Amino acid sequence: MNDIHIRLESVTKEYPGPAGARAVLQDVSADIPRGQFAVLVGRSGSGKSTLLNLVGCLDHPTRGRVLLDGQDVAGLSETELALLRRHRIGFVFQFFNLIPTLTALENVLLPLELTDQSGSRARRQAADWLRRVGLGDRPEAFPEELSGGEQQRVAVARALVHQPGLLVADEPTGNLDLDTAQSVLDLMDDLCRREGATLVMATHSPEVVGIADRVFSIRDGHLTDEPLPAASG
Amino acid sequence: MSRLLQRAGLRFLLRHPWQYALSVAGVALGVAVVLGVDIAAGGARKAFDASRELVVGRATHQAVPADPFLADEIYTRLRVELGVAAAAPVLEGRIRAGGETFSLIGIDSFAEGPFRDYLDTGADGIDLTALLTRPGTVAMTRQAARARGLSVGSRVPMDDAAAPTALEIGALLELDDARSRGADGLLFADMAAAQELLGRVGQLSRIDLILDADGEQRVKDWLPQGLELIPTAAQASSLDQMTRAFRINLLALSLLALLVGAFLVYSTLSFLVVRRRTTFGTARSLGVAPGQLFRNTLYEALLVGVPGTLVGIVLGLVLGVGLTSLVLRTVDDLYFRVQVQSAGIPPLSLLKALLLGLGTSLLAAVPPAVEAARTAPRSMLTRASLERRIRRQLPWLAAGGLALAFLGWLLLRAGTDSLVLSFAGLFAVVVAAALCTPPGLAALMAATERMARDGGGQVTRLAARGVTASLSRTGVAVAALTVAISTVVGVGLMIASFRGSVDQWLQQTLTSDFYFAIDEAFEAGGSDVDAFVAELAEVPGVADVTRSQRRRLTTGDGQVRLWAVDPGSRDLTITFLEGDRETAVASFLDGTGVLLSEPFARKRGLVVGDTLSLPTPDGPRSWLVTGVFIDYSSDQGSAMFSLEHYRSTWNDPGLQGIGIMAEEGQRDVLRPRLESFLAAHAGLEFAANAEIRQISLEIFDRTFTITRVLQLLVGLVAFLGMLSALQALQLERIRELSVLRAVGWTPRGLIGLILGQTGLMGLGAGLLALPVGIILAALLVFVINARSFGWSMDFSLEPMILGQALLLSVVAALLAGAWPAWRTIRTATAAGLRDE
Ligand SMILES: Nc1ncnc2c1ncn2[C@@H]1O[C@H](COP(=O)(O)OP(=O)(O)OP(=O)(O)O)[C@@H](O)[C@H]1O
Ligand SMILES: [Mg+2]
Repeated sequence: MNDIHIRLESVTKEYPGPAGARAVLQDVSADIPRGQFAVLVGRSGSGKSTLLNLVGCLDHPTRGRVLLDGQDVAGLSETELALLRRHRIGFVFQFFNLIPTLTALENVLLPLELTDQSGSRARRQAADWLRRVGLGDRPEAFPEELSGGEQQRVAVARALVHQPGLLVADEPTGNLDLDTAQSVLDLMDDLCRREGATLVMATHSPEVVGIADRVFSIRDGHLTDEPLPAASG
Repeated sequence: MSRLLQRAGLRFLLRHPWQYALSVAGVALGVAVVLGVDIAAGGARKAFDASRELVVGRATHQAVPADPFLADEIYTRLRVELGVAAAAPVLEGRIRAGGETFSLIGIDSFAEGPFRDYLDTGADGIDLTALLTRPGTVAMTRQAARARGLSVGSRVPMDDAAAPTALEIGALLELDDARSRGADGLLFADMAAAQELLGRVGQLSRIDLILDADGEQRVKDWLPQGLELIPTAAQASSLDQMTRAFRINLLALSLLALLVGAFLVYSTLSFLVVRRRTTFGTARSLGVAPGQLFRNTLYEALLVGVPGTLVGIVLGLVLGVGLTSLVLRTVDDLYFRVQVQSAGIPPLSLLKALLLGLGTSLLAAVPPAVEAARTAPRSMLTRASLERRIRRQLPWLAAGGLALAFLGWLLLRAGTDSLVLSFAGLFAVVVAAALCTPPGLAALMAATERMARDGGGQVTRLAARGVTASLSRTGVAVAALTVAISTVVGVGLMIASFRGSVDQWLQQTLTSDFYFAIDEAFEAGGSDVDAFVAELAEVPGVADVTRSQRRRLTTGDGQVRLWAVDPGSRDLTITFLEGDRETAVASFLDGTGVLLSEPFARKRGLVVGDTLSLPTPDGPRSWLVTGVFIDYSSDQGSAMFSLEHYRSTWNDPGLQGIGIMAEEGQRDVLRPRLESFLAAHAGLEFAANAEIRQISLEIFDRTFTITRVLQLLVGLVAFLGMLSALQALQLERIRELSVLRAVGWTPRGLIGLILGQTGLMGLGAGLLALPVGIILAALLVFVINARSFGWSMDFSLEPMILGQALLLSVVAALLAGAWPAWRTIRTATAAGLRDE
């Protein structure tokens, strides 16, 4: 199947700073089996986005290993990584998700084009996903003509359109009202349950925490399996 | 390549139309200048080739005399005694008619056949040689006649000749366009008629021959002393050499324009890449491979390069027409007589321009393309860290610049004989200066900040910091401006030095008060030169008369200009570079030595103590080189003898120039007395000292018109570069500036900040450009000019030029900053904040 098993082994991530390197993640280990819906909570600045970047192979750990289906990501070339992301991973970022010079529909089409699916069938598929996130009437809009929440929904459609085995989402519902947030969440949950995709999501919202299989929380660079009361506010 | 990404790139360009247009304009101007110069240089060459081919025809050899002319009986003997069939006599001379100077070529109708086939039949298929046997009858091309409104039977009044008072157009020559272009100033006449018109009865300039190896040997053995047999091919190559330096100099300037144009493409594309780092990061996280982003950037380079090149070709064609006439005028002033209309457009030039434009655009896109390919997926790299990286690279840029400068120095040293290598070295120095600009700018801004801190200039400090904070953009802008301004300074100083030296030389050389110039019509009109000189010496108020003759001697290795001088009772008015003045003058007077002009000595590698061998009517003779003198009159140089020695050696009684020194205080009364001679003799021109100096400097300035035009174009391209980079900078900062406005900055405050910043950048560019420009000028004066033309000159560091350049730099920068400043305050704050 398409789903992915994630494993972090003693991962440390440091950022260079004016006063030397600063560790955001320290010796973090975790194991997320296929098809699981895992949620990441923590205060702002605790390192959620950093961890998601590592899981999504967008960044390399300073120390330790990230394994996807048992394979060390560090051993893959840039091109192999690109192909991996192209075919098997979907992303929803916290900010600036879209290509500003492509329309909403074209943004959703992009992952299909990259996997050599084009033509009218791909267009129908992309339009269909736009409709599912509630933007079926705005395919020709450019990102700057969309609100923050609308942009985020286009990003969700783009992340799901090629049915990835791993979906990495960084506060995908942060800008949405409760109802819309719920329907977007349902779409992702659906992918996870029906297709058996693995879903890793950073969030502050308690609704999401409620439906997750598993909740991780980050604090002071360490990862624990239980949610902290402070995070659900 | 992803079609969607291509589309995204195109839309990005179209959303920044000014940026896009500026870079297209940069490429276009660069290509236009290269193409224009190529067409002009090629046109001059073609015109020259065409006119040479017309005159030389299919001759393989020419028998030329060491005397100015040879007796036509030698021609008859050559045919009769030696039985050479393919031989034709030629007499060449100048003739003034209808207010214009023509080259008159006398030919023998019956011998012409194998040489110049176009003389066989005229425009209407009539045997035209027959028509020409009537005295005073000439032929010209149909095109030349049409241009002057003449036709068969028209009469053109002769300006100052003796016998017939008008030329009659006896026939028109039918030539294809290419050949007729070279024949615009040519008149053909039958030999007898030409001899009469030129006052050369019984005389020939040369004999044209078609010979095989065997025939060559036979003719060589037979030829009487004083005649030399010279292959025409050798002449062609020496004439080609003559204009080569001139052409290479033009080419180098045009390539500089292209270089600056490439800079513009580079700066635009790197702006496009930097500005889309988040977009590229997103694309990478969706699985776009680095190679795709690389190719995508090259594709965008073509979006700039293709329209830029096409527009450039159109502009270049227009520019080519203008430059061709400038080039031809210069060639006409300096080298040989060309009277041609501009030649057509060579398809090869178009192809070259196309490849050069596209190639340069693609090449300039490589660094930004690499940058794009290296974008990390969903890069967390902030603008600040990009700038940090640039700042870390500063020492490397400086080191690279210094290494390149060193390479340039090596090239300049190695290229003593090669102009191409010398120019490559010069280019390396220019690029090195561009590389050193960002580190130099950072250092300057740091100093400014320190000064402002001590002096308390808050806005200055903010402005200086702003320049350093976005060095990735400001560095490019200032580098473009630095290159342009240093070119302006370098070329400006070179021309000023050159002009100063020429002026000084004219002052030293032109010591007589008045001059007569004498041409062929003088003797043709029956006047005797020596009698005329004697007459002049008797005019009341004349203190002294000097005489000179100039003549081109055709030799086995090209033409040698002889300059024979009789300084009268005065000293020789030349300045020696080499040799002891006393010995040199003594050997000059007794005819044992020859004095060489600097270009002549340099081109032939001769120094004092060497010998120079020249053909004379009594066979080849050698002279000891006893002195080398400064002379800017020709870059071919000349060999100087005393008039007396020249006359006895080459049997040439002619004179070309007469100088007259007035007695104390008699100058003004003398002038009308001398002018009265003009009416009595044909072929005289009269001028006072000051007028000659004036005319000489005018020719000098005309020679450098084209250089100045190109310099201007380079400056224009660089200005576009500055404008484009500054605009890029402001666009990037719209969000930041909008935030400043949102927190309460006034538009005036913002304008002050932006203009302060661009002004500082202009000042920085100007300050960096001054030393670079001075170095360039020194290289041009001491290396390039010396190697191109063989002239050494005094270096003059005109403070005016330096001051103007600095001012120009600041004004250009302020102008370039004005528009983005205006735009910034016009952008609604909310829209600015929304901008990614
Ligand atoms: N590229 C970077 N360079 C330096 N420090 C960084 C970089 N990216 C993130 N950081 C720092 O790492 C820490 C964790 O950042 P991260 O974005 O992972 O937090 P987060 O948990 O996602 O926060 P939020 O909920 O606000 O999105 C922060 O203190 C941030 O300042
Ligand atoms: Mg985050």
